[in-house]
Amino acid sequence: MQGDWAVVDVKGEVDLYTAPKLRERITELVEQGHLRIVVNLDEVSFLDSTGLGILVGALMRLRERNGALPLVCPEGPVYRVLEITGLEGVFPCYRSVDEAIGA
Amino acid sequence: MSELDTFAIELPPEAAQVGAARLFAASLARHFGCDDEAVEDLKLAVSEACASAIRAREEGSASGPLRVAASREGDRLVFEVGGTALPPRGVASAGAPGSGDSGQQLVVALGEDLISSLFPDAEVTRNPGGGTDIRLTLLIPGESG
Repeated sequence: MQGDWAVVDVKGEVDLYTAPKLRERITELVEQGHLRIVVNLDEVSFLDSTGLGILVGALMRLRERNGALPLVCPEGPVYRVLEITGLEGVFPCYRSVDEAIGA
Repeated sequence: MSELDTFAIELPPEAAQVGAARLFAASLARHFGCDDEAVEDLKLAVSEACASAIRAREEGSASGPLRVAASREGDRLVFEVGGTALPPRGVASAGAPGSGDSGQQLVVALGEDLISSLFPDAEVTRNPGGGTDIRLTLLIPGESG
C-alpha cells in the first residue's frame, strides 16, 4: 500500500497459466474495499490477451465504482502489446509507481 | 537445393504448458538468426494460438496434445499450431461459442487481433481432425536472395 493506493507488483510472464493469480489478487483488493489500484508491470517480461482481458475486466469493475487502475508500463514488449490492441489509450500508463500515484 | 528441416513439440493441452511452447518457438527462431522483435512477435502469436488450442479442446472442437511444429522452407521458418479455435481466414469470429461470457469473448477477440496484427499473412485452415491450424511465417535473416 502507498497512501490511498494499493500496488500490485507483477513479475515474470502473464499468460493463460499465470494470469488467474493476477485476477485473484486484484479481486481480493477490490473485495477489501480498495478502489485505487496501481498495477506495476515493470518486471513483466511477457503479457498476452489473457492478461489484457484481466486488466480490462478489472478496469471496468473499478470504473463502475469511480475507482482507478493505472498501469506502470515502461516502453518494451508489454507496452507494445497495449499499443497493438489500442489499449494504451484506455489505461493510464506511467513509468513508475510514484508517477502513477502522483498523477 | 533447399533444405527442409522440421522440428516439433507435443505437450499436454494444459495452460501450464503454453510457456514451454513459447520457449520452443523462441529458441528455434533465435537459432535461425531472427531478431529480438521477430522473436517477441512469434512468442506472442504462438502463445495466443496455444491458448486457443487449449480452449478448442475444452470446448470439444479439437482433441489430442498441444502440437507446435516448425519447418524450415528455404528462406522461411514456418510455425504451425494445430487444432485451435481460431476462425479460418475470411470467417469472422463467433467469440467463445455458448459461453455467454463477455470476458472470455474479449480475450478471444484480443487474441485474434494480436495474431492478425503481428502476422497479417498467417494462414488459418480447417483441420480435418477438428479445429483449425495456424501457420506463422518468419523470414530467416540473410537467407533471401
